[in-house]
Amino acid sequence: MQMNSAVEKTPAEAAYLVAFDGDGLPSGPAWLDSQRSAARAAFVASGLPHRRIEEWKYTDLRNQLAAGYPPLGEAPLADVARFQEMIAASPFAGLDTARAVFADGVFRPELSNLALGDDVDILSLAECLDEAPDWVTSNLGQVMSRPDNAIAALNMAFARHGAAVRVRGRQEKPLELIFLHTASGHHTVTNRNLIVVEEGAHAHILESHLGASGQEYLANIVTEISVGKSAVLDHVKVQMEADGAVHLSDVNIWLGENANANSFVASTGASVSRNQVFAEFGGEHTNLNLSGACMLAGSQHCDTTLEVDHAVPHCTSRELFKLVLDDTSRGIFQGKVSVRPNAQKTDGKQMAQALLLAETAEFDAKPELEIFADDVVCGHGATAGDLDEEHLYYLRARGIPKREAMALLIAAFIGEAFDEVTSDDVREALAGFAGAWLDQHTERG
Amino acid sequence: MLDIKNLHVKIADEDTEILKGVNLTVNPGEVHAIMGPNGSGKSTLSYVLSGKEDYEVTEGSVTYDGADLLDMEIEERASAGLFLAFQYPIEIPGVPTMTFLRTALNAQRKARGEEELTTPAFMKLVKEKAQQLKVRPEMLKRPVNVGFSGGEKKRAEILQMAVLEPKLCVLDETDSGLDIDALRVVAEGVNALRSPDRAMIVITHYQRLLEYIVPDVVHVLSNGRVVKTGGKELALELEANGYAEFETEAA
Ligand SMILES: Nc1ncnc2c1ncn2[C@@H]1O[C@H](COP(=O)(O)OP(=O)(O)OP(=O)(O)O)[C@@H](O)[C@H]1O
Ligand SMILES: [Mg+2]
Repeated sequence: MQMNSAVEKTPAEAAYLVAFDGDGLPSGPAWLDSQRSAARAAFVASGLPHRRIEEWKYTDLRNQLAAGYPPLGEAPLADVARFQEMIAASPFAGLDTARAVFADGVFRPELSNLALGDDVDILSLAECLDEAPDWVTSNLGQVMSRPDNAIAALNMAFARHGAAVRVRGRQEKPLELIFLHTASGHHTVTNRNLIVVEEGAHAHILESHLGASGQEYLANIVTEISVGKSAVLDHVKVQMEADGAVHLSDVNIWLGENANANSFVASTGASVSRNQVFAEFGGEHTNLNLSGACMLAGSQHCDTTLEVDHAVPHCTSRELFKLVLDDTSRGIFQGKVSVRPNAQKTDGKQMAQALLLAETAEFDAKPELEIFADDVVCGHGATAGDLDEEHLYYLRARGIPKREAMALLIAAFIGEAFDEVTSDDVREALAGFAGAWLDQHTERG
Repeated sequence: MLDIKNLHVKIADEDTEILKGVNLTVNPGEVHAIMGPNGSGKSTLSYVLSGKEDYEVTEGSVTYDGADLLDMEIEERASAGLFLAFQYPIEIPGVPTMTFLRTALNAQRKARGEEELTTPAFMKLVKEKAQQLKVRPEMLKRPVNVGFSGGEKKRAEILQMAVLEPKLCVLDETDSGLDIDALRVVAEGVNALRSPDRAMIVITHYQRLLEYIVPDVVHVLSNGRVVKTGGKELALELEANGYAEFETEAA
């Protein structure tokens, strides 16, 4: 990594460096402190990523973070009613779930409902750190294939709050991790989650990120997920941050032998967002399905960056991402699939499709296949197009007004990504979520 | 009900004129058949009536129920009771047939100031009509027309028509691609809609359909003009002699 001390610090970088020297830093226990200080050193050396770094070609954080986002000090005073109202707006509100709620970064037991049977441990990371169980100490910070990246480094630098979840059997209902943002002023909220799915277990995790309108925070969230031998993970995340917010997310998935992981992300919020997913195959006969949808308007910017590392033979990976882009919004898809020399019989397919609702919207796709094995089936594709005029005509010829016809066609386009989600209830909730966006959006148009 | 006067139409981005002064008057309760050689402009006429944007009207007028049809949006025409059963119905992946039908029916009802149908009432209606038209329930579970055979697509068009109960039905070669039994079922479906305040324009190449759906008037469209109008016996004549007579006229 290049030292860029000669380069002038941006306000955002300066604010983080000031925070590194301040006294509000999380501290203890020792095993975590060493990771935190290494992360701070990494950030001091690298600064914020910018467009001359290949993986950040399209998302220039040095440029896009115009202000400083110092870590949020004291969480604001409780306003339980307000939080509850926000929770009710989660797309998953109608589902029967257990809940762990984090308001402005901090775990709120009075808003949560952790009853999920004996097979699931749900801990508040901040509260368990002093006497952390082995499954936390041995995994936290370890399920990271790219710990050096800027989001991860900044996250570790301030890591203290988040959820630590261990699933040892079949979850009877989903666990929803809810992240609410209400505090005002530019600030960073850091959350770090650890999800350990033990051998043969089946985890079902939902995440919703909800922001109060008008707020301009930066949410930095890293989730480490270890999916053990023959275990199953269903993971669905919905990002509905405030319009002016920044959402920087880094999801790391490690898969053991015979494991099945299905992770989906839907985004409609934030002015700038980046979803990184790093997945690593640790055992053979493993399946990974990554999918997602984003619906953007105005000048929103959403970057999905994936890296799938086929380190062992006989594994399957599927990626399907759908983007609906209006106005001057910009959607980015970077997908890298590496197949190492010994990873024979790898089956990897990737597709990203954008629907451009305006000529001024932009879609950038950078698929990358790095294949070092010869007996593999891999493919990728990216398409961009606008709504099919013939389809629109047919629907209107049956009396469906243009706006409604557009909404039907957009829902059909995006629905193909939702189809990747296994739970019927969750899929329906996602359809409702997309429908709400379309209603709001087409009304406005 | 429908009054087409001296209608001239060309393709929007080109100069080629397709309709060259069509005149046609359809009164409530009437069934008109339009026959004519390939490429004579029959589908173009039906598209222009429905409001398809690829065409440009350069001259003439179309009055529907006293209103200027050409001034109406595509969806307004549909809500006002105009229905076009397409010669080549398209597939719309991802849009479930039932969602499509319900959205269309309720949008039309809403536009006409009528109450929207409840889901159970809607389901009952569609089931009933599907049964009459021998449309398998399994087909209704698929996205609009996706994977339907040619004949199934035509039947699905008539199902849509039966559910939407339009006032002016334009059937563009609905008979082509239908097997003998399906032709009868579809014709029965169309006849069930015949009423003193509904009218139909049936575009076809074959006398056979007109045995089932007996027309009041038959027109021959050739080279963008109505070149002959007569009673139902005209269809028989055409079946016997072809269009040679008109093609010389047009040339
Ligand atoms: N969008 C278009 N672009 C180019 N040419 C067109 C277009 N639409 C119609 N035409 C031309 O206009 C003429 C009339 O076509 P139309 O489809 O109306 O004929 P038709 O009478 O319905 O024929 P058929 O009996 O084969 O269905 C044809 O020569 C056709 O090629
Ligand atoms: Mg035709």
